[in-house]
Amino acid sequence: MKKKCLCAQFFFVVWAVVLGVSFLLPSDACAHRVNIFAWVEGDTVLVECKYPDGREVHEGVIRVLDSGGKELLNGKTNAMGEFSFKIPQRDDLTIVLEAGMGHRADWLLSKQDLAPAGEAPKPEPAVPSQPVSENQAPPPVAKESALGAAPPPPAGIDQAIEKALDKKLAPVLRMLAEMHEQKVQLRDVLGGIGYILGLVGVAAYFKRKP
Amino acid sequence: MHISEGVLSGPVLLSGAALAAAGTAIGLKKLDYEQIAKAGMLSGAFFVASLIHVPLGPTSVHLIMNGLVGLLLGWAAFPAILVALALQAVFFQFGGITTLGVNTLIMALPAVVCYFAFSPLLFHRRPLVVLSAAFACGFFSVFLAGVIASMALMFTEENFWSVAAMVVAAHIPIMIIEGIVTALCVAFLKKVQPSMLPACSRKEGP
Repeated sequence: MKKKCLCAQFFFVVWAVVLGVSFLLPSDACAHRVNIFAWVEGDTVLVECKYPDGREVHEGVIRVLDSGGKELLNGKTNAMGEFSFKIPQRDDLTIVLEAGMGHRADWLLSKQDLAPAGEAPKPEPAVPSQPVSENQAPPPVAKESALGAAPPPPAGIDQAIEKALDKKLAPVLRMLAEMHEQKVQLRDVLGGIGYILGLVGVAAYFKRKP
Repeated sequence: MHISEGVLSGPVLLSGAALAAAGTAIGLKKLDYEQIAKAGMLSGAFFVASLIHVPLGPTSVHLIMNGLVGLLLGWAAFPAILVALALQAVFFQFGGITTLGVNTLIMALPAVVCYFAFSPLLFHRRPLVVLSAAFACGFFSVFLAGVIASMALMFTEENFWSVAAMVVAAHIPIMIIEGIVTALCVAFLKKVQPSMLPACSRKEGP
């Protein structure tokens, strides 16, 4: 009887310590995994590599593969865990990070993500009322502005917009990168412990003495 | 030391899975009714141990606890660690499902080896011997795990010695910490619940 009591005591001490620690360190996840995030700025692809606890991956090997799995280029991340390269070709690019000791992660950039400003084939013009030919621009401007409609954008504005958007979106992309890093959450921990308790029950059922 | 998906080649994954399955089968066979609760507890401890970070200089390391699991469970460490790793793979994306076999082998084989090497010393008369055996158990289980991980990796990365040296060197702090934690756990269990320790239960048995 006494022994059972002590066993339960020990069990709860361990339980309390473990839960306490996991409560205290909710954001401090493990270095069991690496995260990679890549985005396009102009004609450059930027790659950011981090461990889930926020440390940067130094000297991680980056390999860029095309849709056929052929290696296009490779390199190493810098001290900030970043790597950048000019878009080698318009294809679905897989960016693979190998951080050594069995850590690996990849990120897929699809063809659409890579469309650089100006060069991209645009099936639909941004403004539907845009005149087809640039040469004929002046007369419709006068006509449309007389009608109170917006003047058509001058040539090159697409690039300017893309550039401005890239600049404005950079912090948003960074935020997305941070959100993409899956952190260990308490509900996962509790769920896992629940599974183990359930399996103990299953094992006890099958191993029970008749 | 969890190896991610896509790093290892097929034959390595398959042989790892086969060996892990064999170990698990032996473990399940040896797991008797009285041990089930203990196995579940230690499986849970292993599952959460990797979330416990010990700050160490600029970085932090996390516990592994495969030494303690092995010391208390023997062969039953295989199923306990397999379950914990499977749940870590699903919930935390540590390692992966395809590498589950290899990762189980990396963690559980050293646990079993250390069980056979150090559990006979646990009921030595001199407490110093007991504590050093427990320390060595925690220390060498991580060390051997590093060696097995390097063996799995050597088929994909450069050569065995450089990989092994890197993996082992990176884990030296955790080896020492594991040794201390295992020694503390054994000292605690000896006082509070000696029947949980392997040699004792064998002595008490029929």
